[in-house]
Amino acid sequence: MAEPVAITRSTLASSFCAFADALNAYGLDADTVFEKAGVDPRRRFQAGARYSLAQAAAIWRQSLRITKDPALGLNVARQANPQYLHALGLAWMASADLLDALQRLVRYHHVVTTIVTMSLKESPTEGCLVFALPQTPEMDDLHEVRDCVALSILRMCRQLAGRRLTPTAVHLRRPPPSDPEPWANSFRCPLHFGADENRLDFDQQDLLKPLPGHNRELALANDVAASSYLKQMRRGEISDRVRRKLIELLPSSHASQTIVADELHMSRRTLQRRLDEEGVTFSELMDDVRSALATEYLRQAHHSVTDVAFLLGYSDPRNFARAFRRWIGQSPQEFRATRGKAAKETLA
Amino acid sequence: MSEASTIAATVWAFIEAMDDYGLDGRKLVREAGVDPDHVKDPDARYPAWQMASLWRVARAATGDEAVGVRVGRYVRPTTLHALGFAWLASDCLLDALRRLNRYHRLLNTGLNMVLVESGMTVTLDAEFTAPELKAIPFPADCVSSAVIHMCRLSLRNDFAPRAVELKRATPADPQAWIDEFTTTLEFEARHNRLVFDLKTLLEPLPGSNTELAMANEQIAAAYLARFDRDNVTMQVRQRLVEMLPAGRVSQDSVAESLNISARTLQRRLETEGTTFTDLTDETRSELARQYLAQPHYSVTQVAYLLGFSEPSNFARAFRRWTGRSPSQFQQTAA
Repeated sequence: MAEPVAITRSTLASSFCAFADALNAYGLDADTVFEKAGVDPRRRFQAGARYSLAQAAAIWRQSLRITKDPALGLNVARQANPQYLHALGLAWMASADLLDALQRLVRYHHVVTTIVTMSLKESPTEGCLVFALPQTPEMDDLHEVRDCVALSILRMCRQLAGRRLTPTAVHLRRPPPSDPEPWANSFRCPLHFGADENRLDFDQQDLLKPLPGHNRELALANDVAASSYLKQMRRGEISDRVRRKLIELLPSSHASQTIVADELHMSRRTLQRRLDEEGVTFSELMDDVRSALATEYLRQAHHSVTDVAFLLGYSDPRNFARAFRRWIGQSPQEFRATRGKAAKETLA
Repeated sequence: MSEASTIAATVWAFIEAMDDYGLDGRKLVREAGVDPDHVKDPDARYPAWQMASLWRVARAATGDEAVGVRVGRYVRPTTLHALGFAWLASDCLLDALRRLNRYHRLLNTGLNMVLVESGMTVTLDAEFTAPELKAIPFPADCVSSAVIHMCRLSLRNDFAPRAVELKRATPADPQAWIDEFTTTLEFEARHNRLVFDLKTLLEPLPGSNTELAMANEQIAAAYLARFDRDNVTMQVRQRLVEMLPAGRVSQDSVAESLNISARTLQRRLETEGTTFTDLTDETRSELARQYLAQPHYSVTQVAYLLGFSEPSNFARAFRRWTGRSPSQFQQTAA
């Protein structure tokens, strides 16, 4: 059985506007790339809508396949803008100083993503923002995401405090890239690859300098909006209830939208409307649950790939294999041979 | 009528721009007789004569006739107070420009803006009424450049209007204007005017979020009502937003809450070219559209929030405002 956390991890869809801008800057059509990854590109314009961990990972993998650019994460970060980040982004712009902004980011980062965890370590001379990605197979090998998160934060700090702002050091939990120049040009500070955590170190003096955009009233009002959005999100709403039902129903292969609606004591139309309100579709939720369960089952040696396909309600194992490649970027067999095993060891 | 004033945050844009010219921004501001520490108070305002003096000092110190155009580029969303956030969270640039048109007095009470939507073209005229600011070309340059800068921030970097018209004398070297506006330019024009294509103005903004736009618009309205006591239209609009959900809003009750007689209210609204009924209608129709665009309000809820005692009355009024029923509107907005 999958952990509930793993299947409810998600990212604010509008934050992928930066991703789309970056793809367009490569001369690609972002909407097509999103669609190829099995993700609805229009979702990014729906206020408050979210992409699941599996969908976010699928967009990254699809884009890496097409651009073949190891610096993709940096190029996405170059398009990052606070207005893509709901009320948190607005409150960010009205922060008193960078410390205030980073504290706000740590406090409300779930507005933007529940995939990444963040914290702030302070000493009298330095403030360090630490972030971590989940060690799940969907994300763990996507170093580009680490690059992207680190540089997005720095870019947003520079938008507040000026282009010349430089951290005292940046640490990335990723192997050194073969050509580190794009990293050096973007961060413009000492860089440590292969670190044991992802960290941006700032001089306290830089963190405490008053910012031109400071407006306490605006910051507080948008903090309130951010926390009410979080409350709404945590209530889990209908999508969580559907996920839980799917986990129950999938092995019996009776997991249609009509049956789930029935089980939740509502009409198919009501279910549809409430999912629309949360900006998700039934088939996306199905994908989410299946990808989480699939990786979970495949780690257990006693399930064959065919067993897993049937457990997830696929009538044909080939369809399962195709879907799995879309979620994880590997075939079920490859996954089991490599990262499935590795993941099992780290868990043990 | 009290003296025209400008929101203090614009002076930050000045200081930053002067610093990037390689000058000492704070020192220049002080030389112009303006207290730079004042800018830290987001509610602070500068009188028009101080702003005019600031422009003169900036022009002399930089030797740059295009100084207005350059300063405009340093405008951030927060320079426009909550209006800047409401702008970013607007559905599209047209929505944002309508908000700017509604609340521009928040930026400068000596500035008059008029947005005209006709066919596939939308124009925004910005005329200074404060004589000190009208006498020099830099404030109008700055407003044009700031509005375009905000469009670029919120939609995309390469945004350009269809045309920019400026009343100012043709500069000896127009290159800075060409570079900044990247569009057809006319100097010595009859208006200070930005011309937009409707199609571009209707593209969805990546930051669009009706709920946030409304919340921040409310803050903008409250801020404006706080200092713009002379503008009775704005005062009434603000009271209506507060009082409508409780039902039974009358000209008498609004006048009472403003501590003036109903007759005085009526007279003052007349001099501002509007009536209480028009304002109530406008405010209700704006709010109705904003509420209905959010999935979690039912038509009945919206009717009560706007002070209608019967949903059927609301439906009738809504059809009069928009030509559609509330539920039709809700379906297309979703």
